[in-house]
Formats: sequence, C-alpha cells, structure tokens
Amino acid sequence: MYPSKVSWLLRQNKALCFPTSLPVLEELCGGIHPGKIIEFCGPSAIGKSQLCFHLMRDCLTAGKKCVIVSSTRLLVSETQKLTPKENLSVFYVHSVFELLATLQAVDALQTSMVVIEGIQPLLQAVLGSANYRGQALLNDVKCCMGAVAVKSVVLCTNGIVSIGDGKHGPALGRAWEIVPSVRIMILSNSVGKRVMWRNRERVAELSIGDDGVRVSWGDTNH
Amino acid sequence: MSIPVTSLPLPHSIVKEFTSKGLNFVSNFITGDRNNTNYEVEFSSEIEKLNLTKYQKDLLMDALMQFFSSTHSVDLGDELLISTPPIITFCSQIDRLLGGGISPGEIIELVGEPGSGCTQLCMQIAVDCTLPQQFGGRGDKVLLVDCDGGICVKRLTQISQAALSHLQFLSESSKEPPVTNLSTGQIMSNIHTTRCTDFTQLSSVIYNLNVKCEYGAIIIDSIATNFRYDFGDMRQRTNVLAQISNELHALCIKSPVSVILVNQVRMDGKGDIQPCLGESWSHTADRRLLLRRCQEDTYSATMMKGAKSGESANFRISSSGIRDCVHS
Repeated sequence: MYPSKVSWLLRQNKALCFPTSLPVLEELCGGIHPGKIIEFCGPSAIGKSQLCFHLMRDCLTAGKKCVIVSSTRLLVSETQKLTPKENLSVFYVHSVFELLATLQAVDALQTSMVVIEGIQPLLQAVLGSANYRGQALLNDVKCCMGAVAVKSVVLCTNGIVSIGDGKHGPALGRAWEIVPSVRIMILSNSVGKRVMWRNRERVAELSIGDDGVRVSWGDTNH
Repeated sequence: MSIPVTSLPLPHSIVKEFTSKGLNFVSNFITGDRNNTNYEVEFSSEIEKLNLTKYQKDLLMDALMQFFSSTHSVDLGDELLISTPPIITFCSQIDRLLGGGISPGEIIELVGEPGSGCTQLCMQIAVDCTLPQQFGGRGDKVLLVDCDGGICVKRLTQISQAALSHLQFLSESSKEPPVTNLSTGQIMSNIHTTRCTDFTQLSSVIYNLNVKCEYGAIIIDSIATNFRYDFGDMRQRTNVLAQISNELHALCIKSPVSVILVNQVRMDGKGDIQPCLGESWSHTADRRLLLRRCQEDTYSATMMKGAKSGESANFRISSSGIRDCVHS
C-alpha cells in the first residue's frame, strides 16, 4: 500500500511542477516543486514580494493555478501583470484565525503554487502572550501549511530580527525556524547589493530592475 | 479537514470548556452542510453538554461565521480603487515623487527628526483631502489622530485659507466658474481630530474605524509616541503593534481610504537614521518618506521604500503651507 502512494505522490509532484525563469534560484532551493515550503526572509523593501510575484508570473504563464494569501493589499501595478486571471485566486487575511480558515479552503483547490505574503504580523499578534495559545496556533499554522504543501509548493515571506553581533536571523522565533524546508535570507551588503544567503553562506545575488527580477551567482567576496 | 476548536477566534476560557468535555472538533457539535454558500450552521445536541450562556453561544456563532467567510477568494477588479484619485500635497516635486500623490488604499509612513516638517505635511494633506476631486483632493472627511499634541487649529485655518485662495486663482485663470460652494469653515468642519494619550485609546480608535469608516484619509501623528517611552512589557508592545498593523491593512482593503502614519527616528549602531518601533513594524507601510531639514527654509523628502526609492524632492514650508522651492 505504501509504495503505490509514494509513487502517486511523485507522479503528482512532477505533474504540478513548472519551469521558472530563475534557474539559479531553483538550484539554490534544490528545486521549486510541490512538497517544499520555501521562506524568503529579509528586511522591508528588499524585494521578497517582488521575487514571489515573479515566480507567480512564471507559474501562471505555464498555465498552472496559483493562490496568494496576503495580509497587505496587493499593488494594482503588480496584479495587472499577472495573467491569466482565472488561474489566480486572491485571499486577504488579517488574523491568524483567518489564515487557518483560508489554508483549509486552499487545500481543497488544486493549485501548483501558494504564496503566503506577510506571515509575520499575523503570528506576532498572538505570540508571546501569557497563555501559550500563540505557540499552539503556530503549530496549527505549521500543520496546515504542511498539508497544503503536499500538493503545491508553498512560498512565504518573513521579516528578520537582529540576534546580536550585527547578525540577523528570521523573525517569529525558534519554534518557527523548523517550519520551512528551505530558508533564503536576503540582506543588503555594504555596497548596497542584495545578497541571498542559504544556510548562512553567501551564495547568490538578487537584482531588481524594471523588467523583473534576476538571480545570479554573485561573487562571495564582500 | 476537520476543524479543531482551537483554531476558532474564541477566548481561551470557552475553548477550554469544549476540550475538557471532549468536543475537540467543530464537526462534533455542528450539523449542516458546510458546502452551502449560505453556510447554514446549526448546533447539534452535543452543545447541551456544556452550559453555555447566550452571550457565549453568540460568540461561538460569530466565530464560526467568521471562519467560514474567510474561505472565499476575492475579485481583483477593484473599480473604486482605480477611479479614486490620489491626494496631492500642493508641492509638485513631492507629488511627482509619489507618482501623483497619496494613492487610495495605501499606508504611507513619514519619518523624520523633530522639526523636519512631518506635522506640517500632515496638516497640509488633511486640508488637501477635503478639497474637491477635480482639484486634487478626495472630497471626503479626514480624521487626524493626534498623539503628539502638535495639531494647531490656527495653523489649519491658515493652510485652508491659502489653499482656497489658490483654488480661486486657478479657477479664475482658467475661466471656469468660481469655487463658491467652498469656505474655510466647511473645510475645517470636514477635518475631524481625536487626541490619544495612551496606546489603548489608539487601538480602540483603529478598531472602531474598522467597524465603520466614513473618512477619505486617516492621519496618525505620531504612531511612535505611545509606544516608545516607558512601555513596560516589550512582548506586549510587539503584540499590540502587530494587531494595529493587521487592522490598518484590513481597513485599507475594505475601503479606498489612505492611511498616513508619522514615525520618529533613532540612530542605530552604525550612525544611520532608522525609523522607530523596530523591524517588524517597518513592514506595515507600503511606502516610506524620510523628511529632513536642509537649510533655513528648505526641506527634503527622500523615498525610502516604494517605487523611485532613493530619489528625493525639495520643498519649503511657508505661511500658506507646503509649497515648491522657489528656484532663484
């Protein structure tokens, strides 16, 4: 019974995969395919949302379905570039309870990509309070994201906190650290370039222009 | 998927009641077809095991309705957002930097040291919002949430008089009928202010705006005051700020209201100027403008977050309000 289910999952994963226009990012993440939860964390205005939008555009042009769950209003200029519209579903959530409800609804849709934008304010509104309910809700979110990730690739964006010595780490605490399968941290270095880190090694460079987003293997000297 | 009771927005005491009696999932006490678009939900007889008061039953029903209504996706074609014009600032340089002005449905943050013109710019925007749409305003009421105590009625009157005389000059020179149905008194009566001296007052103002908002713009001057000094529990501060951030975003999505926040600055370890309230708050605003005083009467506004990031514009503050710099 188990081998057939595994091979069914593998066949589903291959069918839901799509080619992206960022091959360096695919190699960095070890492949952008269903079953993965990829987190982009970084300070504000560094380009995490732009990167997610770029990947969503790739998904839609490949003819696959895409879902975005956002806590902030999406810019009209960005959404106009996302076509065809019937393959895209947009959900707005403003509390962690709405996020849980929406993830359950998304699980019923057959999509290739789910983007959860701005998960930090949703969870930070409940974490750290005295009755530990926040941690229970974080666990619920982790389970729902895992269930969604069985059939789709899940991308989420997070912020960073400083952890002393000028170093930075992902926000939302140690309990959140284990949730994504791949974490890419985007920081700007001394000359203002955007460097993508994975496993605390500088590996790639992100550049954002008017034509879109580009990821290249940058030099690791800075 | 079965819905656990812990994922409903209920107070912890009610959730404990359910789990102590073994009702861990919503399907244990609900009958009714979840796939209906009407979401008719009825309690089954299991609910009688707990002695819930009517108030608690209403809370439960509200929570379930909220849960089921979050499972709808939204339509992206928002005609109201596209047809509502941006609010100008009476300084063409800043308007060019902002791409026309302050867009509807956006949250913009003005940061600056004391004396860099944030409150003056807020008062100018408040007056501009009340102007009719063909003159660059929104034609709507505006709410000024004053946490600093810097809003001055005399100055607002001065700015609105200057704005009106400028409009009359415009309509005369373009031979259009004069703007007779606007007076300073009318502009002032469309500007509502409220004074918040505590973070709980600020939270309740924002919560009530989410319930019903009849304004075209909300200006909060400044959001850092109630949180920066002498806040005992830092974890609670993060919770409250995240809650405010969520509610402001909910407000901007429901209606095409513009939210203008004023924030203070601090120096970080390297000597750079950073906005206050931490990294997590910096994700709230869609755009950020850094205001600085350059010389005697010249100020500069630099875009820190948003399109045209890094570009700046110069403006001056005169007796009529915010205006372009006069090139000599």
